[in-house]
Amino acid sequence: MSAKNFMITSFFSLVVILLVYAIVVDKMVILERNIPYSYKQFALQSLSEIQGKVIISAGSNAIHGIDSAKLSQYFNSPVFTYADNADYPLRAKILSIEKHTNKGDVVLLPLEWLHYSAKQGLAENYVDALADEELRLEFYFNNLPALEKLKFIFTQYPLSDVISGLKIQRNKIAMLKSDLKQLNYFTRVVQSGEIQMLGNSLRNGPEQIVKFPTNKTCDSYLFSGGFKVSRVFKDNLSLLKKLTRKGVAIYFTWPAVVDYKKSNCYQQNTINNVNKYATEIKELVENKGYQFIGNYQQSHFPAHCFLNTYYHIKRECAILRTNKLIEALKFSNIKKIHNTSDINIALMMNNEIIRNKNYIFYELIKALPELKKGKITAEQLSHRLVFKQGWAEQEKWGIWTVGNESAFSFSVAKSLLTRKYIMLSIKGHYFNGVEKTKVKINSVYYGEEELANKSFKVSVNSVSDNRIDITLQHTSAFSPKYLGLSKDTRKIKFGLTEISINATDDGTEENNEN
Amino acid sequence: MLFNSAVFIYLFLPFVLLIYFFLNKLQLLASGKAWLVLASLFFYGYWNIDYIILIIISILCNYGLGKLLIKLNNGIKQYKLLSKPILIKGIIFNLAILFYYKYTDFIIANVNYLFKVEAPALDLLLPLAISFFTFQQIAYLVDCYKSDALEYNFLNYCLFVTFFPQLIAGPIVHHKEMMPQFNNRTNAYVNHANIAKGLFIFAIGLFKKVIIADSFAQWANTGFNSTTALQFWDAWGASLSYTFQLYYDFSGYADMAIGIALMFNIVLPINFNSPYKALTIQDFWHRWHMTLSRWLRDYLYIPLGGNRKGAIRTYINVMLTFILGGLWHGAAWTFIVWGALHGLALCTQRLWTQVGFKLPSIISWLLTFTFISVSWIFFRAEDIPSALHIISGMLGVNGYNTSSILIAPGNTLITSPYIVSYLIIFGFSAFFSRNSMELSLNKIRYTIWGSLMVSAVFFLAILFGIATVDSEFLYFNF
Repeated sequence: MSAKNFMITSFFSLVVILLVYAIVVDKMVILERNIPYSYKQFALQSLSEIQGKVIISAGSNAIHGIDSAKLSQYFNSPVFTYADNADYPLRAKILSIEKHTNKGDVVLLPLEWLHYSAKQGLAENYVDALADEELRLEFYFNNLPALEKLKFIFTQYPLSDVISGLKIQRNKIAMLKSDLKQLNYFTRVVQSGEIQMLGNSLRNGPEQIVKFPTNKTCDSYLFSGGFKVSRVFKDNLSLLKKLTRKGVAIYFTWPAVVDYKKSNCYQQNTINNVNKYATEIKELVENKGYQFIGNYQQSHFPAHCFLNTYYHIKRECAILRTNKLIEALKFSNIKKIHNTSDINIALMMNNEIIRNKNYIFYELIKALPELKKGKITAEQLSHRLVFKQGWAEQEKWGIWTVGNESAFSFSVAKSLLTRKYIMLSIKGHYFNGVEKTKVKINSVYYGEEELANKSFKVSVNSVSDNRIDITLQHTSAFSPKYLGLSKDTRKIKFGLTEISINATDDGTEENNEN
Repeated sequence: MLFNSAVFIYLFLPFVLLIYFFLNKLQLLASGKAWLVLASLFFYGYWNIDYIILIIISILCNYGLGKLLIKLNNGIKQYKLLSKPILIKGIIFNLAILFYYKYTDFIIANVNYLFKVEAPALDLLLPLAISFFTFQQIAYLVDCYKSDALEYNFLNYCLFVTFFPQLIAGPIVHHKEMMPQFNNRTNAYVNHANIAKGLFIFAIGLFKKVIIADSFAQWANTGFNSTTALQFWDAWGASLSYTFQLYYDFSGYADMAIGIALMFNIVLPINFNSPYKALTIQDFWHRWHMTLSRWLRDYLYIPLGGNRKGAIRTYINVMLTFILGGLWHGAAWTFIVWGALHGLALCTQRLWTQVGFKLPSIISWLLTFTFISVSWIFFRAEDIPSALHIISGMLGVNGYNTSSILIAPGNTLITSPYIVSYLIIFGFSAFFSRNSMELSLNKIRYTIWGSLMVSAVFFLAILFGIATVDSEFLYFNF
């Protein structure tokens, strides 16, 4: 090989190695979940179509310090708090917001002091969660534009995390079940009320202090990064241009901070530094063309507002802070959005959850092994069938239905579909008296039957995609608590203990093969 | 800007190379050189822009003084008499700058200690490479005085001082070996063989730095920064880790410098020749930081009288040369002790040779390596008590357990499988394998495997660069 060819080969092999590595990280290490792990990420994604929404983003002070519902009344438009740990890089948050905002949206940034002094390098808890078992923070990586992804892989993501990520054995079925678990959690969040649904957690304190830096005074905790605006923040400020170019309006405001006992957040010896620092930040932000709302003293709260850290305030104080913020917005002449479209956030979220659940069920049914001739015993039920709706957790003896309607699905082996009928047997027992259950199989009504030991002849013509969907309807599901039998509040009715599958051409069962 | 940083490898170096050869292709040779000087100043200023002015003043003054000395030497006899005071003033000027930035706080601390006063330290930031460019230019002035230097073109002189591959941490180049190369027109054009060879040598250096030295650095730092008393195995683990860290770090840097310079068709002098294979201390100094040894011999030891003024003066000269050599590395008593130890070792060796004492080769090598390894403890330690703390651990004073220093959960410093395997693999490489110069000075066979190896090293450099944020070369501190 000539020297020239040696150089060319070296160059191209380097490019190939880099590409392969980037693909490995993207496709095998920081895998994309079907459903984001966190509710806030799921909500950001689900509400992305809304035009004229307001997104509040920062560290956790925004979760505990602003009442999105109240702010929503001011803006006359949906307001959602998309905030989490302030240690997570602001750059990743901005880029994920950029992907899910539209012209006319507003982004409000009550950044914590730490954001202004953030140094290069990523927090360990952030890096580790990108590709852990649950892929808890993959959303941030997978929402990056392609070039940002490459930049992240080659300048920030440590090789040790790539190796540990590759070592994790990922199972498609387990991941889909994890998606379902999260979707069930999201349902509970939406049902728990508007505050939680809009990304806030306004609570009455004080609470038990966990991981609180008791050895640090409030001001030393807030300003552990010093009083100098960092290069990282300046880069983030420039990055916001991506949002403004889309027609998104951006406003900054100060973080809520709270004294604790005698630990004052702005002590006399730091007050001069804070004033100068706040002025520097404000000028920097305003020079880039963004408005800064209010002053930092307005969001400083006395010790009785303390929830569990210097950045978290109690509900009553959060409402007070929101009122002050609204006054400041009015004072700064920030216009209302007057989003006239009839938006029901709860309905939108529920629809998204249902849509995603159906998708996950569909994928799960495909991923589970197909059922051949034979029995599915009690312990195997949740491993072989997909219990979509109206079921309790699997128990050793079997599984209870919960509520008046229960549905489950599975796929059958193609070999069974060569015959005319699939013989499906259900075994189980009833709670609180035997009764008849309405049965639908692949949308065909099979009548009202007692299911203790019942077989159904399902025509293969009604089966598409190898899939069997069974719906059971009960008329009198009551909880043991209601009946005074125990504290169990589940409205249980039928306990499924076994399923058998067979195939036939004339309706008589043949011997089992497995 | 570090040679092992992505910004240097993937932006700065290719950009500078491209523009340099493009200008030369257009026959704009002076512009090509000016571009290289500007790029070198940018490279220097990337670290701290404030000190660019210092290096420019140093260049202007030394070039002017050199020119004057040459003119005086070529003039009438009365003028020649003026040249010695001018040389002395020139040397004082250079040493004064070096002294001010490097040694003022050291002197203040010692005065404070001796006279129980509290004069405040100046806390000056040491300008990068000051020890290197000062020595290069003193050599130039001395040679001008001795009529050993020609009157060089200003641009070439600037390039001689600032040429970025060797600017920060050597090799300490001599004007006689550089100027002819800068003047040689054939060196101005792309030479694929040199670029490929340079790339190959650079990759070897990069591997030494990011994969070997930076790994040893973690273990060495753990041991040397330990606040608890090191026990026998941990102390030896820390000491050997630093011994190999320093070698792979500095020789890695030298390889990278030689490789980069070669891409510009400039051959830099070899600075390392398997120093840990040395059988004697004298042999070691013929193999370790060879250009510094050469400088100390030519511009300190010989002017002091060398071995021409009797045995006692020879020993004194050896001791002085090594103590000053130690002090050149840093303003601290640890460096003075390190230099003095090497001076003593050389004097002992000289004495043994004179009385005809000879050891078998293997014993001689073991003794030399052990001495070098122990002396590095003074070179690395924050102060003399810290160095003695490690040495007492190596002597077993603190016990023989291996559980005193944790470097990772479940791993102690010496029982870590990584450190043991690194010590075995790269220790043996330093002792037995051919060095990078031996590998590359022979005709390189360009194969697909060679190109894959080069690519893999560049790839690993990127990934290891993420993990090691603080990865400066050790000799940047000198």
